[in-house]
Amino acid sequence: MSSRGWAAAVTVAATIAATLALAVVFAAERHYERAFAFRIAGTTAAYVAAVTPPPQPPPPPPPAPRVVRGRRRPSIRPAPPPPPPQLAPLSPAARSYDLPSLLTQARALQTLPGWSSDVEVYFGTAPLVDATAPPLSPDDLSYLAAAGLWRAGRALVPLKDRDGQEVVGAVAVRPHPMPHGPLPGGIGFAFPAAILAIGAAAATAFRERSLRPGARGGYVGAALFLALATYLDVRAAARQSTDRWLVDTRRLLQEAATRLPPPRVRVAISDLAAIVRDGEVVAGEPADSPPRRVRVDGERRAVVAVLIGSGRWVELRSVPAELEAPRWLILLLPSALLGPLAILLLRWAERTPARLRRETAIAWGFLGPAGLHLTVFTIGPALYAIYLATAANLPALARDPVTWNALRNTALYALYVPVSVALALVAALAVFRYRQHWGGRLLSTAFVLPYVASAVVIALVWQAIYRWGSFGLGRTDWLSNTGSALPALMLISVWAHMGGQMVVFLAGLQAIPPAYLDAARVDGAGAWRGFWRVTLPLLRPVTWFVVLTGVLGALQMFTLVFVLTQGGPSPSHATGVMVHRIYQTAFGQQAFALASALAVVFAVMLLILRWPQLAILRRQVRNA
Amino acid sequence: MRKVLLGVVAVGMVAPFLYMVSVSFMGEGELLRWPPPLLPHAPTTGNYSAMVEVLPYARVLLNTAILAGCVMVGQVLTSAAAGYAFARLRFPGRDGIIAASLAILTIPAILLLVPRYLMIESLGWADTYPGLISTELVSVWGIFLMRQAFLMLPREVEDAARMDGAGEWSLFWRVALPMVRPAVTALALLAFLDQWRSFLWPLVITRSPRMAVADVALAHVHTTYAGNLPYQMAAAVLLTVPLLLICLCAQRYMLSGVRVTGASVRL
Repeated sequence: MSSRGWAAAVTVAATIAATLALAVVFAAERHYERAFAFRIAGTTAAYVAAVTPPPQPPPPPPPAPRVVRGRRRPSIRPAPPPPPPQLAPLSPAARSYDLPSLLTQARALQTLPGWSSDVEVYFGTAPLVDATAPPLSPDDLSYLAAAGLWRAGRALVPLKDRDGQEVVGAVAVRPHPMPHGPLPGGIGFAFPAAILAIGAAAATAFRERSLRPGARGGYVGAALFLALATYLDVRAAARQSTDRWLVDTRRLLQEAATRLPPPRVRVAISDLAAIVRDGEVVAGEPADSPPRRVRVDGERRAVVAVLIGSGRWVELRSVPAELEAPRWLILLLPSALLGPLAILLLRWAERTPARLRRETAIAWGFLGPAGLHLTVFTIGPALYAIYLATAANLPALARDPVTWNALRNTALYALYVPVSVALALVAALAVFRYRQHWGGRLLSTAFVLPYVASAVVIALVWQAIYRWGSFGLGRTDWLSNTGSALPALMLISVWAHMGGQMVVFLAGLQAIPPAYLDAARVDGAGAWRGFWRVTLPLLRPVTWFVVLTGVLGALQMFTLVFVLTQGGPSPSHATGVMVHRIYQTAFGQQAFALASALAVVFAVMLLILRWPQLAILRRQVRNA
Repeated sequence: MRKVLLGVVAVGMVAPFLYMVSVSFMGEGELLRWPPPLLPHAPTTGNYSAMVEVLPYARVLLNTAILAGCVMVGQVLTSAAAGYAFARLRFPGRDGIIAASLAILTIPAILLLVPRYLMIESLGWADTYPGLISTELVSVWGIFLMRQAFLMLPREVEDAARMDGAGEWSLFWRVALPMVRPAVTALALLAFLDQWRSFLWPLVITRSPRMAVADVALAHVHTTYAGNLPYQMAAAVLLTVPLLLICLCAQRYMLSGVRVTGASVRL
């Protein structure tokens, strides 16, 4: 590649990366603006439902926009008296709203000072605020019953009847465009940072024939700065969406305090709280007008003080949206770092002979499917588990005796492995000795059978034996006895796992050259000595493998406990093992963070055992 | 004398299974006798006909076969391709990637259970075949098994095929892959059996009876008919027989599989 072509390619790569990062910022800002629009539309719908009284009997005729046009009703007027009490169940029409008051309330919204959006209220499909606007399509209205809708730059949410049963209309909110940037005047960091990153790439590429390490570092720095700048912008947009909702909802609450239908002398805080379903309203202190961030019971909250009457203050609280903002980094970091990556790749391609380049491309083609799958379904979830675990209360976990009990039971249960390995070795020797004879073949089949059967089948079979007291076990049920439940499970496991271990030992025995044992025999060693001095040392790697695999499998046992004891007998958790506890925590109590924390701790413990196993594998990889 | 002892031990090992078959033919009334009978007093096949309906047997077998079959094909293809790249191709960073794959082997399945569940759930794949199958399609262990097999191939075969003008793809598909057939069959068989007997993931990700695989259906029978041991044993026999038949048909390959995996064990 010519040096000019090379430099141009670098610049193009940097530009694509920067554009991608800016596109993510744009998407995030749109996301948060829409989130705000839907949120304030929902609050407005609740407000309208709260301040509008039910229709007076007889119900008013359906809305006729022509009649309404040009007539300006006073925005504040005494609300009509409540309807006479009805004994019969309310008809759908009676659960709806009084249309004249609805019209008043809807129009009052538009003149609300300090609101940052346009609002429209539909009764049925007819617009009430701007009567000349096109009506809602009936399809959209029926769709609204299931979910919110984004139409032509407006968030549409359903306006339900007074019982929250049926959709009688809709509320639409079009947010006024607002700059989102964190700097004064709403200027963002992202655009200047993008220019800077492209400039840095172009400057280093055109100045040097090929990028020296130092210059490359400069560009990596610029790309990281781009990632930081875009993140700051996204965070600011998230923060702004919460602040905007707080400020606008404050206006709604102040209106509601004056408009809630009588008979009320003082508006109750609970009535206001009913309007704000995705936030909290509590009694508060006088405070400044801009929204603040505070900690409430250790949780971060965005709050704003609302004056709802003479000297009466309440506090409006919400979960700040910027707490969720870091997840945008999943998109922002890779798109910003795409530039340096592309440059490294170009640099590598420039230096490498064509043959190796071709082979690399082919190798990645072969690795692609497995690599992609492992990234998405293994590495990603593993990182996600660690992320989930950070939300758990670790000190409480460490104090929980049930956790320690589960660890103890898991370790105790794994003690069956030496027994089953020893028996498997004996069985393998017997089968190997009589491998030509029917007895040997019968034995090997009999041992392999439990290895083939599924764990649930094995559990059920042994449950029949234990519960029923067959084979002379007596009337006491071993599984519901605190002292004997865990040994009972261990006995099943010895029986079930001997076969698989025996098969591995058999393969190991077959690989021992008969000449070794013959030589030992010539030297005068008996069968016992031959086993002890020749066979066993040669089997040592196999034995290690079987023991390690067996212990790791035993520590992760789940099925037997799940089917047979559910971690019981109940009060003592005598068979509660780790994996079952994690399963219970996640899918019984739905405590995913706690379950992930337990799983991460457990995985680290297993890692200590995995290490020797991995060392064996590593040696195998290197020697091959 | 020793051979008779072998036979006795063998019968002892199989006794629980024989007992399972025996109980599956018992009527409900025989539960109440003491000491519990070893053989049915009046054998009946009523438990079996009831369980074929309850499970539902055909659907459960179909689900299990779909899961095991898809995973088997997926694991064999991806493992063979990746193992081939690791063993026969040179590219920068190969050793690092191999080490990273080894590190993935240390992640226990229980760590992945919750995040994978949340992921599949948010994709809307819970209680569907894609949700059941997708997470299991690649096995790192299988990749290393195949890599080991490809490493054993002599370089000369590859060079000869190259001389004849074979491209990279036909080199892999027509030359190398047929030569490692024992490893492929071993991996295929183990993947199939593993998935046929998988329990925790299907238990978590499927809910409706029409999506249940063998072991989940069996566990369900266990909780539904907790007091009816003959029912449970009949269901267990029904779901074990296909597995045994598969193992019987694949016996020859099982032995080769043990040899291949045994060889990889000892290295």
